[in-house]
Amino acid sequence: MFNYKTMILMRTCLPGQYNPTRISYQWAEAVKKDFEANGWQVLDLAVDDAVRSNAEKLLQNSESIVFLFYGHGRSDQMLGQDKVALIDLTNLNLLKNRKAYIVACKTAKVLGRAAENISRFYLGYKECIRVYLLQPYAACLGNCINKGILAMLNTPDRTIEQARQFIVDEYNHWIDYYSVGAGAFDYFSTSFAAALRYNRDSLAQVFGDRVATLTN
Amino acid sequence: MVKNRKQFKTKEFAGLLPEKNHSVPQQRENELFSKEEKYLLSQLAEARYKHDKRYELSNLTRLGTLYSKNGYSDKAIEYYEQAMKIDKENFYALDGLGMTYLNIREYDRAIEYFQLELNPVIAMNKISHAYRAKGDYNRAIEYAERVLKKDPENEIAMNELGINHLMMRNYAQSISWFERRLELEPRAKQAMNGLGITYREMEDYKRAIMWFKRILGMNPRDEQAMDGLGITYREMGDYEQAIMWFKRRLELEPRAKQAMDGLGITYRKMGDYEQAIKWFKQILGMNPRDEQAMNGLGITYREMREYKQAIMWYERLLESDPRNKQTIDGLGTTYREMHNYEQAIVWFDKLLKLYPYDEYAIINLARTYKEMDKISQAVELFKNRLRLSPNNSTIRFQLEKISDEYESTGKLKEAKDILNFLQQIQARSIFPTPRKETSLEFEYETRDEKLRHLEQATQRQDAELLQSRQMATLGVMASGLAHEINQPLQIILIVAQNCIREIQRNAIAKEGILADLEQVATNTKRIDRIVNHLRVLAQERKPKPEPVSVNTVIENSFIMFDQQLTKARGIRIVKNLLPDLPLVKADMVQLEEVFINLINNSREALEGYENKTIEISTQSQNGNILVKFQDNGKGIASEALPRIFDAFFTTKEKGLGLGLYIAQDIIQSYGGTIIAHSKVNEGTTFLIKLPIAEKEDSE
Amino acid sequence: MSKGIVLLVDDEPEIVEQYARAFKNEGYDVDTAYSGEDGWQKYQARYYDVVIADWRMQKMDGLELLHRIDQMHPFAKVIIITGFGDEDSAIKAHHYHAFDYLKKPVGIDDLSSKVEEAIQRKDGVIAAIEDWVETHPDESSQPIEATLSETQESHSWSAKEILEEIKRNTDRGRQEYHNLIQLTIDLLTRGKIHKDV
Repeated sequence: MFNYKTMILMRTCLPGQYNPTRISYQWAEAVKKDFEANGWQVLDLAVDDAVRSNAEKLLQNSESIVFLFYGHGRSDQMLGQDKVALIDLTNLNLLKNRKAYIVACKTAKVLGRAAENISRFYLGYKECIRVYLLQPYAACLGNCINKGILAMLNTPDRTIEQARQFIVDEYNHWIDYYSVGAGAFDYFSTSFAAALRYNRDSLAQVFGDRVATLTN
Repeated sequence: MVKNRKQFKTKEFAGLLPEKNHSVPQQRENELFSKEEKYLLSQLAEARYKHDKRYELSNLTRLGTLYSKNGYSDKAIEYYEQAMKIDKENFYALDGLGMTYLNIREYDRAIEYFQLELNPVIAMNKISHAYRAKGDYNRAIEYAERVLKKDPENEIAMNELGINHLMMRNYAQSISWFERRLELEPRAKQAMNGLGITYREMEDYKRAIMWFKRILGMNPRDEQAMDGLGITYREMGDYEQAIMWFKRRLELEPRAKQAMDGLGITYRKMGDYEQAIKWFKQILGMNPRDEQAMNGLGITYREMREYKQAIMWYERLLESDPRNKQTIDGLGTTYREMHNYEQAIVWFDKLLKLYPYDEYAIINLARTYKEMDKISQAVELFKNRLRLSPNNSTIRFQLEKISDEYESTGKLKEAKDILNFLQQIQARSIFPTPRKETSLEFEYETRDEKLRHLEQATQRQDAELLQSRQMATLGVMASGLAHEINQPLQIILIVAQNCIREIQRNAIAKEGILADLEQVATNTKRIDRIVNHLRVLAQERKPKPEPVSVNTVIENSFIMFDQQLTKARGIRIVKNLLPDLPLVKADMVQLEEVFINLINNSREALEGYENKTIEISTQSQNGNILVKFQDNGKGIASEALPRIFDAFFTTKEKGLGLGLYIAQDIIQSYGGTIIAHSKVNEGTTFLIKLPIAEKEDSE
Repeated sequence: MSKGIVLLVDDEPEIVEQYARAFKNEGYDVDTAYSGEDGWQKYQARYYDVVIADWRMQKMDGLELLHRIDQMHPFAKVIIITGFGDEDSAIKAHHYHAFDYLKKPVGIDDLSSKVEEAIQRKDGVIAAIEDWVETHPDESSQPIEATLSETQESHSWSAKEILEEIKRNTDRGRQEYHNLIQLTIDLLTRGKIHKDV
């Protein structure tokens, strides 16, 4: 029997002390842990495994519907560990009927649009994701980034559209907190709030079936 | 992270943004306005955040002015009043409130504010203006004269007096005020405009046109002058010309509603009502509340006898401007033409209440009475008015007309009664003014006297023209000179200050001080040369021809331009002056004028070109001195070339257009010639020929 | 530390030299340009606190320079020096947001106090950042931000670098500046702050 509680996760982690994928990798880690705690099987292509050949093989052979990517991106590519496109327009059909939750810059611009009639749904970012490298900001941003998928995980009948709103609300909460709320004290916190605002507005619309849930 | 900063730093950023809920009227055609508004509002917010009262005040008044200039009177008043709260004597706020109230015709409030202004001269001028707008010309004159007592050369006051006398038909007076203004400021185009209008009202159309054209000579794009010409031609009955001038104005400024209004009136006068209506409606298309257009339509429909339409337009105008003089008068007239005399009187009465000094109101009311056959009422009306202003010749004329009518219908007693009354109320002025409805005949002046008067006026104007020529050349120099002098002044000032500071800091050596003082000396000499030369040129002297060397003249004229030609503009001067050049007999200063004008023209023509060069050469041939003056600049178009020596011809925005005219005049007066060759983008060459002085002359 | 960086633009070399001498003595960092064109080139290459330009110059006059600077840099402080003082030029200068407008001959005191005034009127955003960078020298040199994209933008930025970019008016700087403004707009829109300051 097909185990619908399976999730495919692909995440890169490039070298370099200040490479943002080090942080996005951690965000992905948190999501993976949560899914596993909820009894899900996570097929994880991480770091060196996150390359095109592996990705294609996995997608071809797995029946898993849920697909997550954390890493660098361009408007028409998700980039693998080897800095080569892992998913692009040529193999986008591998996401057919799948539910895609993409944490990378700009993919919603081209890939996402194209995926509208291919994936079940596609939620990504149309502009960049500005990642703050210091804590607790990185973690705070992670909360926002992951909020959607985790909201769907925790409440099975939550739709992707609702989940998106959760993300937006989460962003708003922290924007306020760091700009005029308790976390506001100087340029730094303000500029972080500005980055959050940017990321929030960078989040694209849902392509595909808006009322799909994680399992339905 | 140390918590050592104030919260809400974001407020600083907030100061940069425009208000979100600012209520603004829908139609804002001017993008510049909204950009400026946003900027000022943000500056205001910033000032308030920083508790900078001075800056806040300045922005409040700037906003007030912005709104006032763009017609948002309520907003303007709001902001000015806020400014007054900070500083109740702030000139800009007081003046701004005065002007705003003036614009919405609340004259008394306007006057109130102007009277609070501390600067009496400016305030009184504004008050005078407000009274004029209200129609109280006598008061307006009173205030303007008060200004002149304090400041005898105040040009605004002179202008006001000119206009006020014009409004009261004291033409001689108004002419003399405008002329006085021109004496002080020969390029005062407002005065020229005033003269144009005055002569036009006197029906001296030729002179009127001459004055308007003179304005155009200074500035070929002057819209007021074009309007003036349009109206003048129209009043002469030359509708074609009138239309041409209005249309020319529209070419320059397609939204010039004055021109559209002018066209509307012209077509109406021609009887082409359709066209007239079209033009008035075009104004309304741009601004649905334009009063001139609505009044124009009212009059047009009335002439077409479509009284209902006329009344509709008038009443519509009254909705937005309930005190519009023309409209109320228009309504009265319309009802009268419909023979609804009762209503007519209602409206004229209203007009008189609002504008007790307006004579048309009286005349119209009287006319109504006459049509109702209540002539005696009309007579009473006129008598009362004449008692108040005995100089008013229009009223006087009206009474005389009625007296004539009485005579012709056999009512001799009534006729005599009026004449007696008129004799009692003597006119006070020596120069009574001509009436509008008759031909140009002075009643108290013989033909000869009139001719003499006109001749004097002409001579006066010719003398002025001569002086203005000299002023013109100086004028051409003035802006250049200011720059010439400012540069060395600036250097002297700053070198001296630098030197002083360094001495105080013990940071300069003897050599340094010496170098600085040298610079001061050099630059002082520079200024001295220029000032000296200016003195020579400005002397009002009769030309004194004597044997001079053209070479010397040329060298002298270049002294003036040293700064502007070489250093600042990189112009190369190449002189090929024949040594021992034979002398010519001429006034040295006048000849310099010629070359100064040529140099100035070349300097401007070379603007923006590479390898700028001016070449001058002198030689002698066949009993003449030949001077070649050449530049490699912009050149002159072939269409313009034949006209460059004409008076008031100019292709520049600034400038009288007299430079070459004067130059030619001077050369010709010494028996010489000057011609020009030119090619666009290649340059211009002037060739001057002057006869060599005879042996006897060089004694 | 210098009081500020000033750019002096005038096509009369003697004058420029004397201004430069005066400002150097006052403790400013000084750059000079001998034409509007030259001034424009220099302006685009470096941040200046204040620009002093003569009104009338060859090859791009003061007004044109002011206009260009105004279009590019919303927070530039340009002082125009003119020999004329007529209303027209004042209005034009005001229109392009000149900081002020002085008539020749202008003494060192006046010029210097104007420049001081200008420097104090710093742009709010830049002032805030500079404040922070000054008080957090270590943190501001550390990279704080990067993006998840594999282009030039993936470079990581420190606060100091970002400040430089803003001052130099590069694309990145403009982006960052714009982003900060966007935050305020967002807060206003969502009613988190109010405009009646």
